[in-house]
Amino acid sequence: MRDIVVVGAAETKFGKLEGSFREIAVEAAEAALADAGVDRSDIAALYLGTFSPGTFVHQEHPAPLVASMLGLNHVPTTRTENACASGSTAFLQALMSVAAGVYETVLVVGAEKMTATPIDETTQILAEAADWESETLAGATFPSLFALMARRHMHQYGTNRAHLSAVAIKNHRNAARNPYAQFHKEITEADIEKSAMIADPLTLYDCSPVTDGAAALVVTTRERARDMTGRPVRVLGFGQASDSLSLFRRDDMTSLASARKAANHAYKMAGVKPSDVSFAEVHDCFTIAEIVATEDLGFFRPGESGPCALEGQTALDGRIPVNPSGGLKGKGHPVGATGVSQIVESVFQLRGTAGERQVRNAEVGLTHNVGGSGATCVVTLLGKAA
Amino acid sequence: MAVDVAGGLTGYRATSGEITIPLPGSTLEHVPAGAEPMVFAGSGKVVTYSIVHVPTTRFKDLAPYALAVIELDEGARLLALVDGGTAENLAVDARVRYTRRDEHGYHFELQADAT
Repeated sequence: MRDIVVVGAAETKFGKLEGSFREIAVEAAEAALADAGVDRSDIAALYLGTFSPGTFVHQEHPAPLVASMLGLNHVPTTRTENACASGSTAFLQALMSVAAGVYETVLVVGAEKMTATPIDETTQILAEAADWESETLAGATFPSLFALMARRHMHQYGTNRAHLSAVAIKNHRNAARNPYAQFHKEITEADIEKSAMIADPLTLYDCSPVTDGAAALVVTTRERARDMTGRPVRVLGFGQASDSLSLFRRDDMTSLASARKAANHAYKMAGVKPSDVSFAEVHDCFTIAEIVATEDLGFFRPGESGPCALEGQTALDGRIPVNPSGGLKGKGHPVGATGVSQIVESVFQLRGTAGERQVRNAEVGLTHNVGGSGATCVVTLLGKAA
Repeated sequence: MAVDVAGGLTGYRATSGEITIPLPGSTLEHVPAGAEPMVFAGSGKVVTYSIVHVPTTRFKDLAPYALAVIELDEGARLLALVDGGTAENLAVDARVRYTRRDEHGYHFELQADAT
C-alpha cells in the first residue's frame, strides 16, 4: 500500500450549536484545509460521513451540497452511512481511494445536527439503526440494547456500578480539559447515583449526549504531503467488520465480534500489538461500551476492564489512556462526526498539540468506532511520521 | 410456503440454520425457499434484560417496561417484553412463558412455578 498520511485535521466545538448542518460541516472542512495548507484545487474527492440528515434536518444528498459550498466544483462526492460508524467509514473509503492511486489528495468530513429535534424523536431516529422489525418494534432503544450487554457482562464477569461509574468520571475529567468538548464539568459518583434511570442498569450519566458537531481530515500520500504545511500523521493500519444487526442473534453479548475482527485486521496490517498502542479513542456511546471495547481491543482480558478502569489504568496518566478527548461520553456524540473526530483527536495527540489532555510519549494511536450495537466496527491505527 | 400463525409463537428455520420469529401479524407468506416452519411451545429463559424508562414514541405509554432477550427451549432467541418484570424480580436465567402478541411485539411473563 502507498504510504498514506493525514495532513490536515480540525473540528467544530461539540454541543448545541447555532450553525446549521451545512454550516458546521463547512466550518470543520475549511479549518482542516487550512491546517493542511493545501490548495483546494488539489482536493480530488470528498467523502462525507453522516447518519441521518434526512430525518434530523430534512437534508438528504448532502455530500455535493458541502462540496459546492467549499468551492470544490465538480469533484466526485460520496456520502457514507454506517450508523454511528458513518464517519470512520468515510475515512476508510478515502484511505482506500488514495491507497489505490485513484486520487492523490481527498477531503473527509463527518457531520451531524441532532439538537434541533425533540428528544423522543431523536430516540426514535437513533433506534432505527437497530433491527427495526425484531428490535425497535419489540421495544428496544439504543440505551436498552447496551443495557442488555451491561446486564449480561455483570452476570458473567461481576462488572458492577462502580466500574461503569469509573468510565463516566474519567471521561468527563478528560473532557473538562478539551476545549472542543460538550461538557467541561467533572462529575462524581454521587452525581451518577442521583441521575435519572434511562434503561436499567444505565443511568443518564452512563449515556453519551445528543450533540451537534462536525470534523474533517485531509488525506494524501506521504510524498504529496511534503508540498503542504500541515504536520502529517501516518496511517499504519485499518480494519472494518460487520455482524448481525440484531444483538440477540449473537452468541456472545459481552463482546463485539466485529470489533475483534476489525482490530485484528488493523493490528496485522500495522504490524503492532495492543501493548504497542500509546492511547485509544474508543466508542463509549455508553459506559459499558468502553469496558467491552477495551477487552475486544486486547488491552484487558474479558472481565478485567471494569476493575482496571476503577484502578485508573485507562486514565490520562494510566497504563493505556482511553478516550483522552473525553470520548463520546464527555466530548459528545454527533453521530456522523464521531469517527472523524476520533481521528482528529489522534492527530492532535500524535503531533503533541493536545494541550492539557496530552498523552505522554504518544507514538501509536488507535481509534474504534462502532455502528449500531456492533453490527459495524471500524478500527484504525495511526502513528507519528518519522 | 405459508405458515399458519394464528395464536401461537411461530417462525421458521432457514437453510442457513438461522431461526426467525417474524413480526406479530406477519402472514409468513414470503419465507426463504427451503425454510422449515416452526411452532414453539412458548417456554424459555431470560438471557439478559433491562427495564426501559425512556422509550421510543411507539412505546411511550408502556414505560417503564421490562425488555429481555429470551431463549426459547427450542433454542431460538427473540427480544420481547416481560409483563410484570421489574429490576427486583427479574434475573438472568429466570424462566418465562409466552402469553400473547400485539402491536408491541411478543409478551412473556415470569413463571412463578420455576426458576
